[in-house]
Amino acid sequence: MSVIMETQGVYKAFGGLMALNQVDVKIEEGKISGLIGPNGAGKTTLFNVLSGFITPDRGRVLFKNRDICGEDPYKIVHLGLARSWQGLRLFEHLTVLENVAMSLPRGKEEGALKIILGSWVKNRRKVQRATEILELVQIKSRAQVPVKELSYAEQKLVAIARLLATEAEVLLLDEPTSGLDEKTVNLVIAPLLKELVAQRGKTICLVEHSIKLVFNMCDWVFCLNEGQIAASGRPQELRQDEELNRVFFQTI
Amino acid sequence: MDYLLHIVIIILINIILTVSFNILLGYTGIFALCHAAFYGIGAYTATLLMKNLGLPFFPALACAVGVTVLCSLIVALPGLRIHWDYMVIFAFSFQMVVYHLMINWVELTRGPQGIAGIPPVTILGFTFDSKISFLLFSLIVTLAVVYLVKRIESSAFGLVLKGIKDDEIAVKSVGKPVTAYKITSFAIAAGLAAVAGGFIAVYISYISPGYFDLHTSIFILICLIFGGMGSIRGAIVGTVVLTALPELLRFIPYLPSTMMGGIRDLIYATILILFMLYRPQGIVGKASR
Repeated sequence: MSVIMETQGVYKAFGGLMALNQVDVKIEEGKISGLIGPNGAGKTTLFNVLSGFITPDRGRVLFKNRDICGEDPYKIVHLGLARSWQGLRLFEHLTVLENVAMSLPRGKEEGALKIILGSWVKNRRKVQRATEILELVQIKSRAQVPVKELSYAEQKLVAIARLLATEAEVLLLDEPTSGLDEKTVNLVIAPLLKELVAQRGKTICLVEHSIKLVFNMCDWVFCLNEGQIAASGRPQELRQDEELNRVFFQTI
Repeated sequence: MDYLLHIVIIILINIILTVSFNILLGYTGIFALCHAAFYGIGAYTATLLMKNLGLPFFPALACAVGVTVLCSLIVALPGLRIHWDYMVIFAFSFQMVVYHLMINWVELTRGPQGIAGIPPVTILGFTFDSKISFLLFSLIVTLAVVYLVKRIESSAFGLVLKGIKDDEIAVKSVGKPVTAYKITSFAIAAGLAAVAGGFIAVYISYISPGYFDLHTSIFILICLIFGGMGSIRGAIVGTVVLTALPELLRFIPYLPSTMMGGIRDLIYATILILFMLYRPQGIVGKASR
């Protein structure tokens, strides 16, 4: 497998706080990578840098061998990289279906006039695609419900559905299981993420606090601490590192 | 009877203003208190083209829409890149600048005196110079504008605008160019306000800066808050009630006409405060959505 995305010597400081310090990560295509670390380690800042919402002070972010530093976030989505948010950031006044349909890319047949004046509900391709995605994340039955009326677990699923609707190949998931019970994680989220990679050709990078989940799901893990990569490797290798277990994993 | 027809025509023209302002404030969440400026630019452009160049109404109106859309870019291009609070002040300043240009650029606008003798609309030899014919004409145009806005509301574009109102950053993160969407919604709203401007000019056959001042922008805002932001029905209900309501003051005995303007403003201010406090979703809007 090849590297689809990497950062090279990324620095980012906020005033006197060094949020990211010489961060080098390589995300392999078709794999699940995990990013773990204590609160304030710089995980979300790294996601913001990768997705274009923050420009690093120094360093490069390469996506498919193209430097995407300084690109507009929406253009990065068009290139094939999309992210979810820790705080979900769903369109609360829209229905589940609307949230997903809105996030679908513009079709080749859609001119500006059709976008502005054509009814999206009558766009069969859009509705069908959005419905398929809702079916995949097992929330189709709630399609017509406004998002703000859903439970937190259902909203998490909508966030994943919306991310899939962008049709990006690389998905950055910021704490996809936080706040969910173990049953939902094991029966819904974990199998779904595995299916996305195994059967739908997606590449996933996720930020998680659950070490157990990361070790069970990820092919490669990056341990971030105080803005630096403290360690990285396959889960089984990291698990056997006693020093890392004692100093790092106990603090998360 | 003529008086009643006059009120209905004014209501129809005001509906164009509020449903177009609804695209900006109701759907996209852009608070730009300069809609009357676009209304005025449309009215003056159409008037000057008809009076000075002798253009027929529709070509003049099309040019007025074009000029107003270009002017809207003056506000939208820099304004939509700055923070929300500054955008509010920026749009407010634009309203004031346009109003003072109308008053002080006397060679072009004839200043506070205004421009009189605007020719009526003539189509295929038929002149819309009676109240009833103009009412039918403006009804057709208003229905067309409402239909257009309805189409925008249910389009993919409208969906993104509603998303922008909810969470702009989230819209960027699903690959939509937020600034381009906002500029387009601004341009459409301004263009439709220009249509209303062209209509008021040929209807009254006279325009002056007073029609297009900050009061008018605030009136449009209050109609929308009263009826319900983000709803076409709300915009229409708000406009009908608040355009007709002050007319009832005329029938209050012994009320000096000099006080009517003040009382009207008092009513509007009271409505604004009460609705913002107790029913921010307006008359038509639902509390939960």
